Amino acid sequence: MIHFDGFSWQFAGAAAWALRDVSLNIDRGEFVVIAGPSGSGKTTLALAMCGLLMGRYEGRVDGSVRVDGRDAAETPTHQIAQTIGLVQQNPETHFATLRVSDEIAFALENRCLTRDDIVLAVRNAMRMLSIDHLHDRDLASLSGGEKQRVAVASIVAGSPAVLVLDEPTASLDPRASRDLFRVLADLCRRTELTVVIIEHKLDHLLPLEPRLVALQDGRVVCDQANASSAASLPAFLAASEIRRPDIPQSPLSPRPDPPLVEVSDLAVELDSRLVLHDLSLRVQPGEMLAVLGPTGGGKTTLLYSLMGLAERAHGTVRVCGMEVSPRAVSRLARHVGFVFQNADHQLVADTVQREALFAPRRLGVMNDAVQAEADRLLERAGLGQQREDHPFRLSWGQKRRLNVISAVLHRPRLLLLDEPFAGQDWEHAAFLLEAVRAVLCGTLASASTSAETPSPGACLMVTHDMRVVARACTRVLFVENGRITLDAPLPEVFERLLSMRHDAYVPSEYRQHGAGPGAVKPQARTGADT
Amino acid sequence: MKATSIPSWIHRLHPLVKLAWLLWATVAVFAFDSPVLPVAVVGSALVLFRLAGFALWRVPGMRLCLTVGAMLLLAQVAVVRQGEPVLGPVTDAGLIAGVRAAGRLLAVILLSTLFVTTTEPFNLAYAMMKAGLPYRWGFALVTAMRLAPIFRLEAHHVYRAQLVRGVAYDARIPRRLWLVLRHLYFPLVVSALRTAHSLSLSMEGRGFGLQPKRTCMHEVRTGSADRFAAVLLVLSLATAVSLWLSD
Repeated sequence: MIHFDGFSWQFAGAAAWALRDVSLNIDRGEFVVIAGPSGSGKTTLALAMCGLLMGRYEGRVDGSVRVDGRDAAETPTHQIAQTIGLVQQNPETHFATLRVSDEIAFALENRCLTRDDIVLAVRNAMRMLSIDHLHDRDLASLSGGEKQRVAVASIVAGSPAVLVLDEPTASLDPRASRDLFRVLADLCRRTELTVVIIEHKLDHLLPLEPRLVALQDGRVVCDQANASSAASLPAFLAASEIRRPDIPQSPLSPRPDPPLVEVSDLAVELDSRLVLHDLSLRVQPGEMLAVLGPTGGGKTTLLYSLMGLAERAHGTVRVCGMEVSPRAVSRLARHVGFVFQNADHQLVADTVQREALFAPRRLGVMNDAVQAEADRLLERAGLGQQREDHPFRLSWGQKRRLNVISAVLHRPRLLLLDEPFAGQDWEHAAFLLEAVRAVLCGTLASASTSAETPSPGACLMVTHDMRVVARACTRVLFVENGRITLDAPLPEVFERLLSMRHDAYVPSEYRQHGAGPGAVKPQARTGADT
Repeated sequence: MKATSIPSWIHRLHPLVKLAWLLWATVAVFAFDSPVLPVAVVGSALVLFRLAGFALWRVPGMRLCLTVGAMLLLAQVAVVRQGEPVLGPVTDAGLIAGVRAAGRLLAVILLSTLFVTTTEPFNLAYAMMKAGLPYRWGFALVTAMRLAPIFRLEAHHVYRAQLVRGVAYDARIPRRLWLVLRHLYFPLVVSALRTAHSLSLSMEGRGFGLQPKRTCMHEVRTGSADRFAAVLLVLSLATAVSLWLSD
């Protein structure tokens, strides 16, 4: 169905080849996962097979890509689109209409099918994705998981032979991610649809026994059928470096100092709807909290409330000894480092170097030690060569690392991070954790050279990456329906999550199906795992 | 502002019939000098708001419009000195000019608001495409409707993200404006271009623009209320033309 023959691609202006000598065959009905570190060429591969690379982007090409026997470089996009459908990372930018049924009908209307045929195809696609109940809903009113299913249905309705999804779970919580992957695997089995998923997080994919293709530096370094668990894939893990570096269990523990965060009886209302209520919380220095929960449950609003970005209906919030208010956000910024969900939103400067040092300069804490620390962190983040580049030229994963670096350099005492690990492979996730821990321990080089005694900090991070949570956090808050329904230290939290039937939030190594709560413990790591 | 889901016969009217009424009423209140017509249109709009199930004071910006209308009335009354005195310095010509000016403003705003709040933009676009508007133009309207709230939300996110990095958007007005121009503009333009690029990939990838025409699953039906409203529109147009010719 898809045939890469010695295919290489280099973007105009780029020093390195994005894809190198890729030879790959994907047959009808296969369930394929393409994995690899950030920047390894996964998205470029997806664009190439969808006919959206050659002719749209400037660059050098070698070799060929054939889709259903046609050369992708010479076939018009709309013709390839009848064979391959691409679902992009963000469903918000995929939708061309305003209503669910209209969105699913969009491709069929473009092909001038009759109304009766369109109605039938829309109904079938909705049934396949189990979204019949959403027929007349406004797209803006859907949850992240529902939007992603509608995006898939809008492609499936056109009966393509291949469905390509580029990191479809980037904005989904673990349960929604698992459910989406199950639906896709089921679709593949029942309809002979070829499904190609570009994904970092393999936890929920491996039980579905996909064919796993790993990329590194633009090359295919592993291609294995029926990959069922990380333990069964030593060659893949060793070759592709998508392995877990030794992130030691968190050495942090709460200190008996005055709390950095004190929230009492907080309620936040948005559009006449209570998005947070009855919320009380204390965070001590030395604590690293993971904020978990389903999409739309109130996690991001909780972070916003701690920074004064959400209007309170009632309750009090004190952070670093200051009363939090919407009129004091830029003053609170001196004590708090905040990383938003979207990497682009925070970029303001015109070079990577200036971006990293933006907050220290604005907040008046710039000195040689901060400069030296910025250089060290940029080097460690793999951004040393791009210091003078514009931040918008970086890849998503690189921008994310820059976001975190720029949030820690002014030595905040509290870090509020919203999905900081999105788009990061394990190597880079480990680097980000190291930077965060330096703030928590007060050991950031720029801090240690100052006249002040280093003060330990705290961190609250919204994340869906449960392996990071298991290794790095001291405590977990589970936020759903606007309340904290669980507040427990690790590792006990996994028992509690299982007993609350939230097993999608428990990493596979802690999960033992059918076992009682007492049985929850990390399974022995294999050599490949470390 | 967007269409609400409250079902009423005004919501169910064909979008093109409503659009034709809006255009005609807007032209009429400016074409005729009489202050009676704008007042009648404002009165009708208030009744229609009620029938559509809206509380007028809850419509965003309505208080400001009413205030501006009242100020226009007062300004005309204060400025116009011709005509017979009615009360102190107030003349009948001043009152008529004030009522006409305020009535025209309120008539246009109330009717436009009523149209927007009772019409699904997608229905309007489909109705226009069915009436002969090229589908690319129709989808320009739809995607604008689709992207407007996304861009608004993005702007809000970018503003907040920079605020937390010490950009003092919570400072006083002149400084805040400078900061907005300096730091907010570029990320927003980049974000808008990216969104537009992704959307064009998505639409083209699903065959948009492949054929000179496209079919439509969605049906915007016409009923007896539409026919009645259309006949009424034609009659009022004919009356207006005959009045104009008789002058």
